[in-house]
Amino acid sequence: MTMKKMLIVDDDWLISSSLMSMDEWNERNIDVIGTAENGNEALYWMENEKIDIILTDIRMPHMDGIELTKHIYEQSPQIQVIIMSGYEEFAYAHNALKYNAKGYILKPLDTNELFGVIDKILKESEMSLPVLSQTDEKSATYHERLVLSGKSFINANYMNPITLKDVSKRVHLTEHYFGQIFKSTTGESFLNFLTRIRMEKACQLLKKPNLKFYEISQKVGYNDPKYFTKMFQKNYGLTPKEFRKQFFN
Amino acid sequence: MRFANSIFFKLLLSFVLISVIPLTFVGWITYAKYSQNLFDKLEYHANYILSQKMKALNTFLFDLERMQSGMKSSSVFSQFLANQDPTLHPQFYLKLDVLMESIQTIRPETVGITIISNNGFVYNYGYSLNMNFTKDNFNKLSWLKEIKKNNLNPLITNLHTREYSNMDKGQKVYSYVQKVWDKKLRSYGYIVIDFKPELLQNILNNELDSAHSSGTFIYNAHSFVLSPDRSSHISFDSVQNQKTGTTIYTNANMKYLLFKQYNAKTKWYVAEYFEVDEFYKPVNEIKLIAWLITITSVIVCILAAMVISHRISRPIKKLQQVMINVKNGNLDQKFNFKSKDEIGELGRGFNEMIVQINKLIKSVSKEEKLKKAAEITALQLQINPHFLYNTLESINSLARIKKEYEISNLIVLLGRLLRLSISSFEEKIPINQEVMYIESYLEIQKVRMRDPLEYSILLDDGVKDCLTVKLILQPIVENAIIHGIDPLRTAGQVNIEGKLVDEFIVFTVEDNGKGINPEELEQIRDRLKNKSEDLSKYRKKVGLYNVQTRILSHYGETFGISIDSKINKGTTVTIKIPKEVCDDNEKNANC
Repeated sequence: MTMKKMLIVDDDWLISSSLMSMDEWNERNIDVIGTAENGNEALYWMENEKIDIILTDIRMPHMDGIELTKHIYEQSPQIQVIIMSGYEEFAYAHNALKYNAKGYILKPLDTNELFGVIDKILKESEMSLPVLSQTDEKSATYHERLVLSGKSFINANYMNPITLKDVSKRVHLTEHYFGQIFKSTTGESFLNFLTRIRMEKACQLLKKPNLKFYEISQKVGYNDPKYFTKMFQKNYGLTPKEFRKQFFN
Repeated sequence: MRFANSIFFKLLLSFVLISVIPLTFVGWITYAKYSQNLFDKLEYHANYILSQKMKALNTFLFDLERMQSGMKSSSVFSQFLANQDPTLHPQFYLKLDVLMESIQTIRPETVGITIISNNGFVYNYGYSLNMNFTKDNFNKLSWLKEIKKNNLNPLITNLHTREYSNMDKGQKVYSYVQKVWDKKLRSYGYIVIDFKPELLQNILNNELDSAHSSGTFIYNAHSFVLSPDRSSHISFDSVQNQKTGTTIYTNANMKYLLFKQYNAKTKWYVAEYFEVDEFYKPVNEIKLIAWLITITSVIVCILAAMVISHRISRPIKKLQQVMINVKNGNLDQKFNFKSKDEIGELGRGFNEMIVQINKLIKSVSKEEKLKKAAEITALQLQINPHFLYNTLESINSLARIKKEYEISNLIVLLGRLLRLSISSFEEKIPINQEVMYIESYLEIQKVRMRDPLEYSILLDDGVKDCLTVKLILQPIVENAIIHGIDPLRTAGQVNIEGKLVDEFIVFTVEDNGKGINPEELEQIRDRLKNKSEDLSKYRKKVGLYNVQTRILSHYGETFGISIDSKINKGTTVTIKIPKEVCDDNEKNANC
């Protein structure tokens, strides 16, 4: 029997980590590969890992659970979504059903109810799917997952002034240790990765002519536009202004 | 508000215009017509008087003429004129005296007749002649000279002294002088008839009583013949060229109205004068009276208009004042006005309105207070339920990490209980929700109770999908546990059933608790029947009576709670509600 990979999405770390640490997942042969704080992070995970089940909250910053569910429904319908929420408004439940969510569990979570839904999903997939998809996919190591978790965090938070400390905290490791793991796994330093992500985003933003340079600088996490320009020039060999000029010519 | 905009002023103005203008108009017309009339009458009267006087004067002159012609026609007279013999002259005295005696009876007022013949003889009658006054003396008299020039017409002299008289030379008289011829027309003479000015005055002034205000005078081309009264100060110059009907002014600042007629025979102007003020006295009186009446009427009208306007506008003003007070927030106002007219009606309506507004304000403020209280309660209950749920979930998470599954379970139950009791704003919910709620409650109580608690819930088919008023079972179950089971400190059992009976749903909640003693049971039943509303409203009894009140208000008198109990056996509460099926829309939302 194959391991199912599951992602828990909730902006409350206590909830997601407590859920993640439950023994019942192992009993059911489910691998909880990580947690995400919002929809964006979840999408990043989905790009980098093959995920079977997503357990998501609704109210989250940046991208909420309903949006995520919709995205999954449209882009990767093979992923099963379970929604957990403190809200029992009809509109939420209605949308959840519309985007084919497998369950809508109210907080405080009744674990029996949750596992009832999980068991139902497992049973269905067992019946419908022959063993197939596992072959070309090698399972990520523990370190890879930690780095992925960090990367997803960076991806979702590059617009804020984040440091290695914030990311380390997120994965519950010391800065030093996480930095080492990051470098050894990806081959580039944390700071390089962060800057690269920011510069890529900046390139995208520069293609929108209506944005001012200082606005772009803010949007990619640099409070000081001069520093942003300097970093940009260092990376690409030309200033943001020249980049934009070139692009539009 | 300006005075000119007030109702009082408008009313006053209209009343005054309506009354004063026609009044003044009528007064003026009446006065003008009447005074014109009177003026005409007075003028006519004055002319009439003058005509009468002229007639009298003419009569007098005619009389004198008759005297003269009477003398002329007598042969004695003719002989006297023709006589040239002085010795015969005395004889004529006798004969002529007889004649004169009869002639003078025509005008006995005449004071003397003198006949002067050109033969030099003078005959006198009625007075004694100055014997030294001869014909030549006579011929020297100015008026006799005048008659000589104009020898056909008689002449009336101006006033002159009687120098030819023996006794009273100073007497002033007028004389009628006529040149006469004897029958053979060979010799001629002059007849002189003297008369006193009093005679003329009598003839002219016979009808007038007032000495100063009016009078008559006569003048000719040169001077006054009969002077006007001295006190009138009328001078000849001022009257000489005036037409009839004009006003003349004297030195003494008197005004006179002058009427005159010309007598051709004597070449006299007979003039009648009236003092203007006196003459117009009736007109002026009328004028004064007209003015007095008009002014009095106008004053009376204005006063009346003021009184009426005031009477009409006063209640309106009062009402306005009351309204202003009300506008300023003083709602204890009352409009006291007893009249039964429209304004009185208005006032009563206004009072009624104020009373209603007061009532409304009171009820609104009371409602507001209640609402506020309710809102505060609701706020207290609902302080961000999502925060509550998230917190519960956090506790739940901690319990999960610590593997405390009982805590987790309890939190989940509490969460459900909270959801059902505070999150839903619907008055009615499906029965399965209500039952879920009871289950959560009982599960929690099970954990809480020291002694074991068992329960069972049995529902007929179809009951689950029906609607019920929210939270009707929980208070009953709570009563069963707190008042029934808990005091016994033994294993408790609660059985809940929901049955379909005809078109009703009947719930029974049965416990094996200590029961209720009969007196108390009776009291509870009585309260359920009569006082549940008061008790739940004012005594904050949320249990049995509150449920009863809500059922009664939603479904009516035929539904509600009944209770039965036996001491130490237990209590059974029965709730009867109508069967109400949840419709589709609501099913989607709630079921």
